[in-house]
Amino acid sequence: MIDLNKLDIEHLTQIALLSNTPNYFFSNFYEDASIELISELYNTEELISSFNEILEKKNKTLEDFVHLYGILFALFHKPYQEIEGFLGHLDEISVTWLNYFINYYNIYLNRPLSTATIDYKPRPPIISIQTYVKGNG
Amino acid sequence: MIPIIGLKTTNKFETRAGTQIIGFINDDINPQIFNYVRKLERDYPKAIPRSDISSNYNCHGLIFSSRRCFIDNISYIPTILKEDQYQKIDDIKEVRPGDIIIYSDNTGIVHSGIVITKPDRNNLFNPDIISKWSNFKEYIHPANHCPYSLNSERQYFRIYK
Repeated sequence: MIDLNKLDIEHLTQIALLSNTPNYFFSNFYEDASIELISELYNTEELISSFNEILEKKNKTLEDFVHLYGILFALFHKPYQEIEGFLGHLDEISVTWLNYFINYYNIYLNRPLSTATIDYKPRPPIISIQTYVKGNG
Repeated sequence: MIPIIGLKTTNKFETRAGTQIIGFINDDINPQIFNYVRKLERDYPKAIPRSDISSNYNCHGLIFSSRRCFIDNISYIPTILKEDQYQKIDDIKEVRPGDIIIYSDNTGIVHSGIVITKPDRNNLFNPDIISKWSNFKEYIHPANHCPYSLNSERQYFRIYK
């Protein structure tokens, strides 16, 4: 399990809450120093393992979501060949704005767009209060 | 934002040319937002709140859907600007209250707002703006004093007819 305390949770949460659109989220998360740090400290397998562990949690808290996205963006700093399969197994239901993020990732790093189908079905970027309360109850 | 659960309803409207725009409404508020709004307002002391916290609409929803919904699909924005016949204002001295401001970085459009004062020498050509800061509040703020103004280009638009 990776040390998620290394993520700048306060800053990242504020960015997440301030994001009107996925591109603002993407550029700020991708360039965040604490995310780059955990990408350097942990290998791809460790990051994926932690990602899946959080993803499987029921009643995720806001912090869980920020950790989840922090790890995802740490993986974006890994060599493409190491994460291609992982990205292919994710879906937009589990990770909102995922297709947007993969699209920006491809653009930033000049990856072939064929690795993901961009079929964006937007959902409002909000964690419901019920979800949050259950997660912290 | 954050990803996202708790979809309540969609809100659909059309541009003048008839293109359908889909936004979303969610009146749930993540209670943790209240912890972050204090820090945000400390970071931007010149920003004056003019609403409560709301996730019902974002900046683009404020301007283009009359505060009816949250529009997160940025591909809509150029479509709306074109089909609603907004025109870009190239000379900052020509900007007037009622015009809109669009903030863009190297990933595209990140924010928008409504101009409420005339840019001039006194405000260093940074007019006051009303804008909604995603899941937070609406704020009145100088154009260069918001979370989206760093490293972004600002363009002004107006509907003339």
